[in-house]
Amino acid sequence: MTIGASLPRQDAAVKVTGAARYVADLEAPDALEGVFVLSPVAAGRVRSIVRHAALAVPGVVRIFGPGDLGGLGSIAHWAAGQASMPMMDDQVRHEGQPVALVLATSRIAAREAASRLVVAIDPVPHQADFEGSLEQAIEVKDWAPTRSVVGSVADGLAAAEVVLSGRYRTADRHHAALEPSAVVAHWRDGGIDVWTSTQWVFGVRAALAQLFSVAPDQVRVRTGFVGGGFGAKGSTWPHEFLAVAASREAGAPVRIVLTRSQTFTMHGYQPATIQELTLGARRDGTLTAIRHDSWNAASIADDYVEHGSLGSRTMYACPNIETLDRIVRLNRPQPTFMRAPHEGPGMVGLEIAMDELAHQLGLDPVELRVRNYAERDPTSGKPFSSKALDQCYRLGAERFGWSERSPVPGVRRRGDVLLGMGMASCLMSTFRFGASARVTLERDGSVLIESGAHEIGTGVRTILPQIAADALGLSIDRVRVSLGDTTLPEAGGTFGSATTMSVGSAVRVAALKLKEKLETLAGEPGLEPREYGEVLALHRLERLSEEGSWAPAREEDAYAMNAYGAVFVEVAVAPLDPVPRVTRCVGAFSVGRIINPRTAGSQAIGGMIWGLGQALLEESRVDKMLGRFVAKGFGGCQIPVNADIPTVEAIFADEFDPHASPIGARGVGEIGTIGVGAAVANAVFNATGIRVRDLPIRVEHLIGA
Amino acid sequence: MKPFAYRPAVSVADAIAAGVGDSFLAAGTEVIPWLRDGLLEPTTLIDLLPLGLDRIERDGGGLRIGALARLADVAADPDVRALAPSLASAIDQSATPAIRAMGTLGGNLLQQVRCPYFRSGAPCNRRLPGAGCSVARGDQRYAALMPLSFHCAAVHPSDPAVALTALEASVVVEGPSGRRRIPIDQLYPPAGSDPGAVSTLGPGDLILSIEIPAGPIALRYRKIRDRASFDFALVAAAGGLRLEGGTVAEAALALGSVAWKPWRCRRAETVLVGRPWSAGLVREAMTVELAGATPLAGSRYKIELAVRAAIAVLDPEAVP
Repeated sequence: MTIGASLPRQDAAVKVTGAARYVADLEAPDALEGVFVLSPVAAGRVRSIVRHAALAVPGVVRIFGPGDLGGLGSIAHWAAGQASMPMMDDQVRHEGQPVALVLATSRIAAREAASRLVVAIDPVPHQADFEGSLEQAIEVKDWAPTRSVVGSVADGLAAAEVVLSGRYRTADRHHAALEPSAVVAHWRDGGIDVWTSTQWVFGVRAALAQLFSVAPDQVRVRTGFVGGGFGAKGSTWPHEFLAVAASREAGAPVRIVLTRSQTFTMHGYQPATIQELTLGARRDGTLTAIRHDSWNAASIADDYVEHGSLGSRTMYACPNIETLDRIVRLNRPQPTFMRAPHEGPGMVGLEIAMDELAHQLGLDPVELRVRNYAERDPTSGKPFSSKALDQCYRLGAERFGWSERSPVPGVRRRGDVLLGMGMASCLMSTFRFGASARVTLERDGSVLIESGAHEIGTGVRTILPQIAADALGLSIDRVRVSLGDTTLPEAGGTFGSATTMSVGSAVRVAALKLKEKLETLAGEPGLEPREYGEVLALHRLERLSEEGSWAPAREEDAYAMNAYGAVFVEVAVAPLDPVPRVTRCVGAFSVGRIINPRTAGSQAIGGMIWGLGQALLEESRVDKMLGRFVAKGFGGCQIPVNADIPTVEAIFADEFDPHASPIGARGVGEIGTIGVGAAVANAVFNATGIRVRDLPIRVEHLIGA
Repeated sequence: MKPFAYRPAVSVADAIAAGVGDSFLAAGTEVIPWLRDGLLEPTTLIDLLPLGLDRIERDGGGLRIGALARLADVAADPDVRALAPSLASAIDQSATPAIRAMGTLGGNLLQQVRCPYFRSGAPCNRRLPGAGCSVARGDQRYAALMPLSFHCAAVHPSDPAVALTALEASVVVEGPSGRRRIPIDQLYPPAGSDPGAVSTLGPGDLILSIEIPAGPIALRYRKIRDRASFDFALVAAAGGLRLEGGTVAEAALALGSVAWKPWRCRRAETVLVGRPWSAGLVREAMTVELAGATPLAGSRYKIELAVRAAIAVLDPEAVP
């Protein structure tokens, strides 16, 4: 059984030795190098571009300004990160938007020329004040409903013995993938050949086909290893479209590698949210009402809804729940999905509010959650496909030593350092996509898996071989994987914590079909794996392939599906230097069957570290006057370093989800990030008695400043 | 980035002669980011590392540290750890092991500010005189309590410079007009200066060494920062005091990240001396010290942090 085995990453060696190839590493000797010039103003019109100094740089081939890149078709929002396309007109919609593109024979020449280009922009007043513009919030159509109503919150509050409400805030945060996005595009005889760092090759293909009015089969999209995506590479973005358009104009392949600062305005970020929660409860802790209003900052021309209230619709058993998600359109870059979207910011509000309620009622925070445990989705009324959150509360609390928590804040100390414990529930909606895969047996007994999925650092290159090896009864070292190419069987994007379920299920279907065919050829069931090669030889076959596909079955719509968890943290707050430091972190997760405890554990631990960043550090601060992110690099936009990260432990409930996927798995990629922010805020309250409702928590919150 | 030439210096005299028109390069941990960000456009970079200038030695009861001594070597030196533990601690809390292994003490003193507007190319008087200071109406979290002027509210980022200021160190400078010793406080431009200058050094001026006099007090360094490592200070303090029967006989205190230069707290020291020590006394002294502070709304919190950092380094009970 290779499923459930704690195998090391099959791609570890090539990554640590630098042999793994990324898009920017491609040898493309004929490619022109492209460098964008971005707008320094947040709103306006490009009046003129003075090019002669830039054209004088040796090696410069072309300079494109607004309108110079030929026409593009229109595009549906879902296929692309944004529908509004820069450089198609003279409009500037946000700071950091491309207004010109320089092509040269070397990147150095292109950079130098870009710095000599004089772009004159007539600015117009911009709007960048999110919280100051809440009155202009709008409700827009989106993939999920923006509002939900069950029962009546007014009735629930009337029946409540305790009511509390508060405003909670989460910050703008960037994905900060280590590999900046890169693309090599070649327009050729009406076809398009693209290498790009993406989480969704088939999404890029669909988007390019639409925009350039070519048949999808005339578009080939490939990706190498992806050096982190976290959602920023989940959609197709203007640099990818504009690279293709530039190749069409220049008649040569075009390579564009974004600079670090360009990644801050050119492929999304997690927008700031403001959340207002009202909870009503009886004295025994039973919830009678939940109202959750969430707002997120959005761009001026495209809508992105961060569904902050999504978790509140399904987390707790409560007869009266009303939620509403709205956006505020501002002159800022388009936000997008970021690990973990929706519940990632949204559960911050709900889970701090629950801690406040527990404190007000004198109840243990875990006990309050257990008393409101939902056995069915309270909004849809559907049963859950599988849910082992009760196990998570118990396992996590035991492992962490929750019983040592003092219910009274500011009591536990080590020396003069205050220690606090906090916890939160974690919940993430389950996303599943249709996927297909081909499994091929060679005469030497080795197996190749092919699927248009992606390795973005999550362990896909290890998980898929485990699933195939398990189905075929082979050792994993006989299995190879080929991914990230639209000439391979189609798979969905590697996002939404969906790849193991979706692609893994397709690989299993293909592998089982292959085994069946082998047995048919052999004329006997129960064929030994060592006989596979002989069967092929006997039938004079060099290889034998089967394709398998999997898609969520309609009957499964009868179930509500979520990943769950419970996270526990301890923080230390020193009196003279009260920057909160997390000292311990334990997460227990209910994510279905674990295919590989090592890679799953790595995802969960990485997720919790991501959440610690949200809790204490990550914040892309916005300058309202200039309408821009203040810092666009790691110098002024902080993510945790090793010294910030204590012992982090992830444990998993023993579970098999029969409805989410045939392999029993749900998603593990993002659940770890959720809940940590609230748990840290709750631990800070337990340590200091100071209730912080804004993330990240700063020293300013704790010194009365 | 414009093409430029590179040449190793062959002697101090050679470096000074060349430096009058060109730019010095030591370890490059700061100059190379300047080149990348377009903050420096040299015709030739004169590499100083061949000059040596990296000896660390006792000098009377004090220390003399070559300007090109690597930060990690300074912090690890037994004499530095014994005679100037606050400097060792300040270095240990600076940057990362990799940067400390490369960066030099002399270069560290001449860093540009880390103001995110300055570094990211937003309107900034330090980058382009007359462009305006974005901090004035923008993000003020990292701004000074005592700004250089109305035109710049950025803070000096060096940790070692704060310790050296409390230690009353001097820098020995050789330049076109000869050799001179400059108290570290005068290495930095006076209040009201033009924001562009990092230091008072002129073209061709080269720091040869940093001299720390013998001192009767062992000082400590405390750095308050968001991240537990690899971060600049929100506020830092270097200081210490000598008690005689519970009364403060002598005190030294400097603050970091509150002004365009390390901020020596002379007024606070005066309040402390002759009074019985208590945390309340330090708070009173800091109130006097910071009475003239002109924080922006977003940097006001640094006043309380400065008080706490001062209490931390001046507490005679605290473990050093």
